[in-house]
Amino acid sequence: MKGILVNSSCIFLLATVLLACGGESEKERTLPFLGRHDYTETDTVYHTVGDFRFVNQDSSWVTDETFEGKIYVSDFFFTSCPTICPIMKTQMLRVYDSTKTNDDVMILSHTIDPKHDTVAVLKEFANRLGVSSEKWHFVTGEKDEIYKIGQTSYMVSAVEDPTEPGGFIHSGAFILVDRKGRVRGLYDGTKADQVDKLIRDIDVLLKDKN
Amino acid sequence: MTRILLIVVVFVFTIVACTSSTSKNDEKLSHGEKVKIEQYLVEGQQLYTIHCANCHQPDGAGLAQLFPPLKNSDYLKENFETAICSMRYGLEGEIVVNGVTYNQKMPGISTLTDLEIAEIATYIYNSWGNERGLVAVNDVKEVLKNCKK
Repeated sequence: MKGILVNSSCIFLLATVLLACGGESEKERTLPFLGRHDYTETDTVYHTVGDFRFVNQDSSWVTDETFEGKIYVSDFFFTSCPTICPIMKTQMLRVYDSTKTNDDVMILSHTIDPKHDTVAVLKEFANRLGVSSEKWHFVTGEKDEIYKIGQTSYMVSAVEDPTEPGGFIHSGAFILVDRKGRVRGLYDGTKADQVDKLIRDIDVLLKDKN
Repeated sequence: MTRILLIVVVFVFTIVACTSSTSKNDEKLSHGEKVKIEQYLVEGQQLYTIHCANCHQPDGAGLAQLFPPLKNSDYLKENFETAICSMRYGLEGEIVVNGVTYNQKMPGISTLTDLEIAEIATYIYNSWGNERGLVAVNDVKEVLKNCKK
């Protein structure tokens, strides 16, 4: 009995130490700046997301200004996609739910199939997913513009490929962007553990006022 | 203290052991049938994970009002033929599942064999509260002959 008592107090102690350490590192953790950096004489200039202008599920313009001062998560998908998109949307819904009460966090999903995914289709999709357009924008626009912003701003790729199920190859990445339009993380949106990390990283960014 | 823990552990084990033997018709089935259904379930689960779980989710619960649930689904129960056909040929248009309307096109998978469809069907029809028993490959063959393509 005494042995058990000693044992369990050891475990308790260990757990306390671990918890304390975990808390410490989480508090101090900062996220990297992704993409190419430019250096001036006095400063480092980080890669930022370029200007854009798309239409969302409410037919409203969504531009880089919409996200000014906000943290947001971006991805590329299409509504009729049979392969990875449903998993991505399941996972993005977790991000949505975990940040529901925080107006500083938004989501931006680009369709890479604007021919099929019209505003009406995106509206229906968002409604059926049960999400608010204040927080989660589903956008469409010129196909070339969408592909370009994926490659140049978010460092992900999307191309048409008739041989793929659904007709497109695209990255399943979720891209985390900070309040100043700088890319701070890339996550595999098809893997729950990566999305766990994304959700933790959003908290890190929220505490960081820079 | 330890005794209580032991009792709890034993209790949990008992529950797990009991729930894992799901089929209520177990006693009526011959040994051969039991083996066959077990085989179909294992294969079916793997195929389900690859081809179906993206949308219908690993636990069959579906996703919001986008992808209908297979879990305790009245639609599945009442539309056996459509369910079988949809795996190979897809399904389009509105359907109502447990009182909720869904309207997302389901793509068919033309490469699935009759046996694979039987295995997936056996898995779906005997998981998450569904209890149909073995879906035999010969039944699947018959149904597939009459699908609206």
